[in-house]
Amino acid sequence: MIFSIALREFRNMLNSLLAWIIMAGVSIIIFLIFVTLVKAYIENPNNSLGGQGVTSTITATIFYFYSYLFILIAPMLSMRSFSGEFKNKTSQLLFSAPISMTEIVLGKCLGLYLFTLLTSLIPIVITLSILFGSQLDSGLYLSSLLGFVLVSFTFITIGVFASSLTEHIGLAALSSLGIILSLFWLVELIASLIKLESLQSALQYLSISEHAAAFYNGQINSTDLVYFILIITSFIVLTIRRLDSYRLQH
Amino acid sequence: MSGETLIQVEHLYRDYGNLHALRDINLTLKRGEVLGFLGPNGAGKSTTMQIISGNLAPTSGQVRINGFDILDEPRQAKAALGFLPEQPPLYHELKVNEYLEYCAHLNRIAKPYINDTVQKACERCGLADVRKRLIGNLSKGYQQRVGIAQAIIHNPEVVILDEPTVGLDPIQIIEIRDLIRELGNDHSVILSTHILPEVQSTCDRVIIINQGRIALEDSLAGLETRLGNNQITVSLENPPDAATLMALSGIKELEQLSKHQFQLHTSDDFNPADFARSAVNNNWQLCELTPKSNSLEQIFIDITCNDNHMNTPQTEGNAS
Repeated sequence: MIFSIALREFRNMLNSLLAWIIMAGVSIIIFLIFVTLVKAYIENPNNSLGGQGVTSTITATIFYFYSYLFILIAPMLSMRSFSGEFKNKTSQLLFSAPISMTEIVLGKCLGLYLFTLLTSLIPIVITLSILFGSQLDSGLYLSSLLGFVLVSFTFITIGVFASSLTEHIGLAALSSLGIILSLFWLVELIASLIKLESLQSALQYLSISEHAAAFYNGQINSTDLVYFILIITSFIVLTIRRLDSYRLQH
Repeated sequence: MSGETLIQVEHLYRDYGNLHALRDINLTLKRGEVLGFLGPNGAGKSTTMQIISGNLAPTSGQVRINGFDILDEPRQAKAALGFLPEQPPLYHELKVNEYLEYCAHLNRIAKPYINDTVQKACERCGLADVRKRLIGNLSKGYQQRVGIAQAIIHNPEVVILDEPTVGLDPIQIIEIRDLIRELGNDHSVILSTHILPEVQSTCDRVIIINQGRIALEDSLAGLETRLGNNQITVSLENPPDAATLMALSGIKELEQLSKHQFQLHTSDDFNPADFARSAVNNNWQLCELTPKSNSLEQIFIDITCNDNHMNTPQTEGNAS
């Protein structure tokens, strides 16, 4: 049941023009950055980014950069997930079918995760092309890929939650952008302004970028993993709660 | 048809802030019945249907479908339910086939049966020729049929249709009505509408709702006989004066329509045979004795426009 909703959502993405435009844009941007990084590395192999290897200077940087791009991409991919259904009243089809809210939300998220994985093929293919001229540190490569996957899944889940808040698609995209930015960056900014150390570290702990950083250095810390699992689960639960209460008001 | 109760709605209330959209709605629906749900715009028809289908939560009250509470056991309750909302929930970018397959999946039909189910639903709703077309390109009538196909795809015990014939052309309306009547043979149907002939041609029972309350509930046949009996038009070639007529038993009021024609407002103990006998005995030369059949339209207007004017016992009972 979850799977058929996921498949539908995935196919919807494949049918949407916006998704393809995003993919085209991403391909161009990632490719240009890749070329720039490779050029810099060839010209000065020992000095670039503190003399680290090719995996770190090129591929990890690309995944890191791509996760930043997802701050903008995730709201656009996920904004329709529930807003669109509310707007076209097709939500009534889901709500009067014998399926639970949990299944609906998990299905929607899963479909979008699947599409995210499809888009991540772009940086994967581009970075793997290094194998023609050099070797890759597979451990670092995989950990930075994992970092990107976790960060993008988090953004997508936040987007799905924001989309469940309103039937206005633009508003959904804006509010998910707002939530993502505050969790990714604003929290850390505020933390740096605060003198009180305990509050500072607590705020820093909330920040997505703080927990993502280690993955791009080849570290997979269980605390970071747990953080991402927690934050994704919380937004899924929030979405389910939100949809349950949707029947009470509106 | 067995008398098994499929839908039971008890003491349903729904508030939107300070607005009381529904006040104490009670209804039951038995297997094989087609229930017409009537009311002017904003009376609470759609709200009631949304609550029965689990799309809205009631402020208080209970809805049981096939014995399962819609809020406590939603999965079992919704499995027995097909719902066509006011605006059919269609994905315009899908083909009819794809859409119905998705609906079949959502309603937990096992994979091997999906093709058969979709085909059957298409045939029942006359969609066989448009199966491969995009829903967005279909005419409104066909889209409405896809909506109905979606509601009956899992062969539910109860089908709820919210204004299924709005915006259709007369031929499409007749086709959809035939389909609804056919559905009534093996499903229970709740049909909401504000088109009165539709009710007369399809429903077994009628509920009229006004300002969030049930204003009238009766079987269609009962409604027609009950309300047709209290006015009689008579023509007498040689009429006596009004007082003589009023003296006859069972006449409450008399209205002279023309020199020879009278409208009699009668009570329950009026017997037309007795009236005819006295007319013959007194040589009034009776030439017309017609019970005036109140159309459903008249009843509807009486109930919804003028709350004080209605004189149906149910109304007073429920409104108090």
